Amino acid sequence: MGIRRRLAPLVDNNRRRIELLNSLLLSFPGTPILYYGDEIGMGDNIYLGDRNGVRTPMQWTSDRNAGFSRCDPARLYFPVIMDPIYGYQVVNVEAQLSDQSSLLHWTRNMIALRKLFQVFGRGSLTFLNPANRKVLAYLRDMERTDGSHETVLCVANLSRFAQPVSLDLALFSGMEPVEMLGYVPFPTITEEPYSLTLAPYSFLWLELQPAREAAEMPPEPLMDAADTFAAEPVPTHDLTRGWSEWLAGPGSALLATVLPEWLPRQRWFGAKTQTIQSVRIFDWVELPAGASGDNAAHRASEPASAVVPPALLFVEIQYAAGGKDLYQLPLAISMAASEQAIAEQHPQSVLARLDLPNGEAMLHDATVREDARQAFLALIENNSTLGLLAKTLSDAAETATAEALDVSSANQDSSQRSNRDRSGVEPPEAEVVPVRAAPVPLSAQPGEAAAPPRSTAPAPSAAQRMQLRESPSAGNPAPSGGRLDAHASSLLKEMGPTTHAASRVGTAEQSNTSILYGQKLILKLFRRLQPGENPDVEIGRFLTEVAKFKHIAPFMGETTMTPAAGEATTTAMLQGLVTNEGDGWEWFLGQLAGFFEAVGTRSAPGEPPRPTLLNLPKPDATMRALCGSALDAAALLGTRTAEMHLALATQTQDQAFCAESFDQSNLEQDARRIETQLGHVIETLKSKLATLDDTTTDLAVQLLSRRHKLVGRAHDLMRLKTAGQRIRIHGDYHLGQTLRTFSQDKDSAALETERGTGPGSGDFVILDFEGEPARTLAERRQKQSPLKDVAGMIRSFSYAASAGLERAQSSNRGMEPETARAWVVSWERSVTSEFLRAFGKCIAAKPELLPQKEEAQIVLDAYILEKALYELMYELNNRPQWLRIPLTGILAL
Amino acid sequence: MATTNPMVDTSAADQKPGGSLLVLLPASSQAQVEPVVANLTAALPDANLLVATTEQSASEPRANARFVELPASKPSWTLTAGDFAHAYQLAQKNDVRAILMLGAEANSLRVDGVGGLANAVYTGSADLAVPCYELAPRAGLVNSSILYPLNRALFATRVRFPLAVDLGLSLRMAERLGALAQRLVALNQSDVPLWVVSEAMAAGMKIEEVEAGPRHLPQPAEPDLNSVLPFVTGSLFSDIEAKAAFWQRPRVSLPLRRHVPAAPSGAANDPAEVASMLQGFRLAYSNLREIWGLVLPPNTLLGLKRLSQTDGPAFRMPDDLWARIVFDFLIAFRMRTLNRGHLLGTLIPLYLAWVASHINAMSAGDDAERHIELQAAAFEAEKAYLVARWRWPDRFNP
Repeated sequence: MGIRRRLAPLVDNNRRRIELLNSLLLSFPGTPILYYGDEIGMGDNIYLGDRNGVRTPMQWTSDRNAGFSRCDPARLYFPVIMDPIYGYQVVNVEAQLSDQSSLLHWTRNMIALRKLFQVFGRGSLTFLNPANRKVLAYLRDMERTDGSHETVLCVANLSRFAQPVSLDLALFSGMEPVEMLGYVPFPTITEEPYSLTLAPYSFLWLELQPAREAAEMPPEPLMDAADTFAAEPVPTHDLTRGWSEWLAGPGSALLATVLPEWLPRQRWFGAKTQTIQSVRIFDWVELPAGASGDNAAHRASEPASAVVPPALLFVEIQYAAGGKDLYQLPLAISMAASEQAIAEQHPQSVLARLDLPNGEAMLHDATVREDARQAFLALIENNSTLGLLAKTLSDAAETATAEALDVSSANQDSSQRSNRDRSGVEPPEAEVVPVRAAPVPLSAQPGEAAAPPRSTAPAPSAAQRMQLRESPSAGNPAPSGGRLDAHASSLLKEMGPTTHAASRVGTAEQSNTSILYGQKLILKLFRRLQPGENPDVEIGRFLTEVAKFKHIAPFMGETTMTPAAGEATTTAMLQGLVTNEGDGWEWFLGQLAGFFEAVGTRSAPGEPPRPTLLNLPKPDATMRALCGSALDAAALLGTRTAEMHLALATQTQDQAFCAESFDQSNLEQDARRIETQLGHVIETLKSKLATLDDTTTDLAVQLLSRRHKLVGRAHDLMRLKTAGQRIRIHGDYHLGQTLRTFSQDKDSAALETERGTGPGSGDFVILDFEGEPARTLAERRQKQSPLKDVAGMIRSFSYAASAGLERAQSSNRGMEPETARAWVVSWERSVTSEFLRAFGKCIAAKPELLPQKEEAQIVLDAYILEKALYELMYELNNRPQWLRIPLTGILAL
Repeated sequence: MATTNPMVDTSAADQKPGGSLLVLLPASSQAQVEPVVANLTAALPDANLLVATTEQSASEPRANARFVELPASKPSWTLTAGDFAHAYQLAQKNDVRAILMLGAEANSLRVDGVGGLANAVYTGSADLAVPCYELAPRAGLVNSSILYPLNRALFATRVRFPLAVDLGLSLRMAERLGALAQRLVALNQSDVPLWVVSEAMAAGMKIEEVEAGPRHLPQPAEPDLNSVLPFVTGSLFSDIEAKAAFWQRPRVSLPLRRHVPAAPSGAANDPAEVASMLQGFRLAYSNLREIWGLVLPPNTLLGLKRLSQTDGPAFRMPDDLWARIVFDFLIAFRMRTLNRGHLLGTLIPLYLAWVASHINAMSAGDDAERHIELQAAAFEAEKAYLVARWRWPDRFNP
């Protein structure tokens, strides 16, 4: 069977039906294909039989043979169509080109329109199910690289009569559909069903855009009033009396209105696809003035009553689909010159325009302002503690009641407030009192002495808690019972004052906000707050303050928010910036590129045995000549990895870090977890087997056939009696978590001198101790065997080898694939061998960490299997073309 | 993250800490190079300069400046694709941290102007630094009437001089422009300008506008409106056509630029000059009406008819009318309604009518910059009209 009829005769030459079917074709996923002639509505000749009926000459003009050929008409292989409806005299390209309303022009416009929107080719397809079955409605959606979405609603009336339809578009509440052909805006979508009426055989393509933006509004005619972002300025007279009055008054309502629209536009906002139902200010605090910055100078020129220091808000976001998140939101208000610069350079940061008695101002994300960024740094440098404040006075009263008014500082606060209220006289301004931390004893819990103790700690003194109430711009707020603690590490104190360093917001961070202070410091401001201490902070602090481990980005400080009732939560971390040459992943890929160049046209090497802790073959002279630098770097990385684990196993009284025995129950737990994971992966692999390419299918089938053997690998763990010790580990260790740096110490220089690569050519710094983001904080903080990190790095070498091979083959197509594959296997095994040898040598300083070599290899194999299974699942769901890498890794076990 | 997706915060790796500032002076004579280098040395005393000129041998050696030879290219009053290709090639060969490209007569730039451009990219605060020149009220009117409003309305950028002859580039910006320039050079189009601002917007790069003060702008070898206007608008229209999928996304409107109205310059309006422009417009209205009829919708033609009957100081072209005219020409350019050269030639009398209207407005006491800002705002307001026509250019049916 094939195409035997053209579209036009199939739909009785009904123009509307032709357009309707083409609209479906062009709005469905994939590549649309039109049969020649359908774009002008050509007919067919069924008497020619079989598929020849649609193989008639293309009708270009109304000339002889329809302009298809100048030969004798009798000599044409098939005759042109000459009937009165579809004949070439009526239906031809030339005629339709001269008619702007022709089907040809319509088709051309539709194709051009489709090409403007990637969502048609690449987006997801979701069918809506309207009650009226004669109407087909579906959504096409695609996430752009900047995190925003391209969403198109397609509605088609398949009936020959006009049809009404109501669509449930509550998920897109607040969006404005814009008809795509004519760029006509439709009414904004609400929570109610969205009603449309469609003419017979008609269709609508509606692009869902954020509710009408200022871009489409005519700008205001007067220049002075036109420096706007939001449509209309919001009268905000109360702001002059401080954040508290403002938040208690119009501020809350304004934020509740603008935040649901503003948040999804922020790169760091994680729930862009969710509809925000409500936003509530959980706690807030005003940031004391930091070091002077450019903008501070601008602000100094403004009327004093309008200058409001930045504030840090913690907002609770409730989603329509259920669930809620807590976000950290620094806000500031800028006037005059600052406003202009911010609107121009950081339009995304602006929430609203405010109409103050002394002029217009802009409410925006405070991180775009120098003084706010310096204030964060000053908080940490001064070890400040700030009392969090309630949104409104009534909120504070409720909180106070809930806490049974048993906190002495709160009593003091309220009595002082009463005094002020009665007398009408403001007490003298209190200075910001930094809480100086005592030096941290080595035996103490990290941060214990310096940072205020956590939930069981006594509340800060009234003097400290009061500080912001006395700020002239803070109005008359009441404490919520929570606090914000900042803590500087000993390294930061050694560094001395840093506030003179100009700051900027980093661009690489996706889910948080990074602030860089000169070339020395980086502050990671966590946006979405998860209750509890961030493992990156916890481990960074331990390695820097207690273990004095040098090969990480040095921990410089942190801020923690402790609500009135709840767990202390890390809100920001300050680290030292590390000068580097890029991450380890890219560095090793660079090495691989050089390796393939050096290999050139050499014949394939013999396959070296898989390196294990029991058998670590030394790379031969050929491999050392071809990739000596990579081998040395792998050895250095092995040493650094072992040093990291030794540092993490530093003897301490801190329960979070002291080493524990890795006993049989832990081993059994690990074995069960891997077995469950294996079952899940096998089932997924089976379900997707048909979609894989031939080579991958072969490997997948091999893996399926070895299911029992792999289960056996996991069960081997249960046969062990002990497996050394469990300690805190990196948890998500791979080449991308390392930075290649210039050599810092004698060890690496000595090693490189010994190897003959010259001293000081490079070292590694280990980054990001957050653990796997998909896991819960409790899981990430569990103690585990150091071999888990080792397994992660071995798998990373495998990935690097495959990625390097792919790059080399794309740049050097003459390379024999099998030969290249043999070389890359040799590279991977040599590098792994060097890594393991160096790791084993260094970790031997604390032999109790690992079991005997035989047992250690069983544990390592099990963890390599677990990691490869995780990768396999990831690739199955995201990049099937990369499946070969984890499959090969598992099969090599 | 898993091994499969190694993401690292490489903020610190964006810049080479020890790299130098590559300064390209593709169209400067020896006499112009020396003051520029002196200004740069004064503005960036700690920076190592790598100065690329076509007249290397005559340059005096300096402590913090090295000179390299720049391949000679065809002299041009704008920065061309060839210049960008050379810039990127030199940046690749040398340890460069950022690039500063200065057009001809860059010696007329002030120290703070050239320093501001260099600083923005050298400190890493921007990927693209663009100058905002202080020009005489009647200078740069092609930019004010077409280039600036179009860039602003379509690409949502308030950069006042999208075709500036001096630019600061970060390495990644230079890489992107270098790749684009290489393609053009390969097509033997090394003398066309690159629209760096729209390119930066499309790539999500950070742009910073620097107050550069007064500058003597280089003039084309043949300063003839009949060649300059089609050349510049044709190039911009082509760029807009190529980036249609980008600028048709909904964009946020921008506030108007703040501007301190200049004191009346006292420059007398020359009635003869305006009269000559209006005469040219009226002559074109009678001769080119049929051709304009292929491009412009009836409403616009009606507006032009009314204008053709107005004379003298009362002549004013409404802002929205001019915005629609430019948009309609852009559509016609895309649709190839008629030969593109001829099409852009027929825009010249309309442009002269706008200039006459602008001069009249200034003579009546309006601030020139304010008029330009309002004109730009009109372009933004009419953007929906352009998008609708772009997507469905079905003649002039409503």
